[in-house]
Amino acid sequence: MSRAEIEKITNLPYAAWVEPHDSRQIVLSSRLRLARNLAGRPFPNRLDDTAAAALAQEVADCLSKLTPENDWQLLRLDDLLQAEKGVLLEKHLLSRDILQHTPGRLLAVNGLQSLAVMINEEDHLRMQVILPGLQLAAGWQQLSVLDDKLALGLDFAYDDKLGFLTSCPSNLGTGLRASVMLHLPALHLTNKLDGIFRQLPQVGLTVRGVYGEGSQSLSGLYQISNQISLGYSEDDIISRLQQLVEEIIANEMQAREWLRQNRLLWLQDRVGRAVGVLANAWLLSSGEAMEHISMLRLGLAMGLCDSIGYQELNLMMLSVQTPFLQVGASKELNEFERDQFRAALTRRFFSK
Amino acid sequence: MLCTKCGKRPAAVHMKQRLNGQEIEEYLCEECAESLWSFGTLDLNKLFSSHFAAPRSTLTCPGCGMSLADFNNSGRLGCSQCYQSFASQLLPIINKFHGVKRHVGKVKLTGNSGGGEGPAASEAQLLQNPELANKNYEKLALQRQLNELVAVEKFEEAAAVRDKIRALEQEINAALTALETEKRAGEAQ
Repeated sequence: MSRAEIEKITNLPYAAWVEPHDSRQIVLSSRLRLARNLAGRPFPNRLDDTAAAALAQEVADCLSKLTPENDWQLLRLDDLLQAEKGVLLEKHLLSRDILQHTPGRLLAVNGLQSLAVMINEEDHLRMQVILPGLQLAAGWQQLSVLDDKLALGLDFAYDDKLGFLTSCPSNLGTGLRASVMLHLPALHLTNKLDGIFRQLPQVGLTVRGVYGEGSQSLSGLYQISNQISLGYSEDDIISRLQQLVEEIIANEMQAREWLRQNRLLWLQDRVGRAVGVLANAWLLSSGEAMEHISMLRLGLAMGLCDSIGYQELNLMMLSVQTPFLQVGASKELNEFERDQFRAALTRRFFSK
Repeated sequence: MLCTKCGKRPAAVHMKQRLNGQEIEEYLCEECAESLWSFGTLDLNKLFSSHFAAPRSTLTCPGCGMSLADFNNSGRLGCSQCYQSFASQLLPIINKFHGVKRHVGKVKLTGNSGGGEGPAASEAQLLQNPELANKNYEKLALQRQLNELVAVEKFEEAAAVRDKIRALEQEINAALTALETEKRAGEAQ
């Protein structure tokens, strides 16, 4: 694949986030992935590079033969520049794991970048779908169709009792991991997140902060996903996650209402300052940028600010990440340059 | 100056550490320095590997040559056959993580399935009921047909057959559930 074709994929913004879908703007995206392996073949960790490349080609051929409608773009991970890997990581099209060792590793992405298949990550196939907003059932529908079609040409490793066999036993059974990315700034500001997150493991769910650790995510973004994949059907897994996410959304709405009733002036001040910094700063660290973007997003949702739209804000959130800055600048940037580029970028969103 | 750890890249970070009263000074390149800070996420794979007793066992999987000791280190299995090769060691771990459960959800409809305990649990029940037995027979025939179609790469026809199998399976499962409920109601009275 030529550099121009690679750039077509890395340069496109992450469609699934940029497109606002949830009217409440709390759920950014829904992501589902299925782990599958070919029967009778060693898992990727036991394949040498030549065997891995051959297997990857076999899977890639099947993808284009059985699902031509997806218009797959194939990327050899060996061909990617460091910054491009970073961009694909930010877009959740690649995982950190697969980047540890890239020979014989492929990524197939459909035209919309809503479907992606990592070949020879931890498992032979990791198929995923990303959709904007809370669309777990619709996502599962798409993913299941892809899986069904591929199953006609690929002999997947399966056991009646353990379900689909995976390299790590934590993914056995359905091989399904469903996750939802949520923006929960009001629950964070009202110190209610820890309590909620402590309850998640009881229902087999797990949470992780996006751009930050645990409940201290500066961006106010959290990813919630199922932990257990064996013994529950795909529909059970999805409806349980859906129910819980809706419960969390209701809580976030209550927290926003509480802030409006009790801390309005303080909140207006925070939102106004966020606009001030993003529109006028000349040096902006990643953490500071994410913190203000999060506040602005809250202000927008609560009608406290109208200087920017959601689509632009989502785009800003993604493009201030270091790999995007570097691809935009077409060179590696040091920390000082990054902060400079980042500030220039956010300023541009307000200068119209 | 070159990195004192890898000796390959130029050093960019100066590290001073006091360990057991001894001062250690290192000049590291960015990559080596980065690797020092890569903590902060839990390695859940350890959950699987650490349950094994000392890796004295010489058991290896004939499918891929992976040993239990290898699995202990990585927490990843080498091939699908490992699940049989190390069944007695793996099952307690799987049960601990997922709970004692059997797979439900999508099933594999083509080819050979991995070699667990054979056919689904309620086959005996199926055979007792003539109508269900017929449906099951029809399903098996379709499954053979599906395998043949896939073998000659007639994927569109195969997809149609697969959908029929799915529908039949749903009918059979619904009938079985109904029978089960009836039976329980009978027992309750």
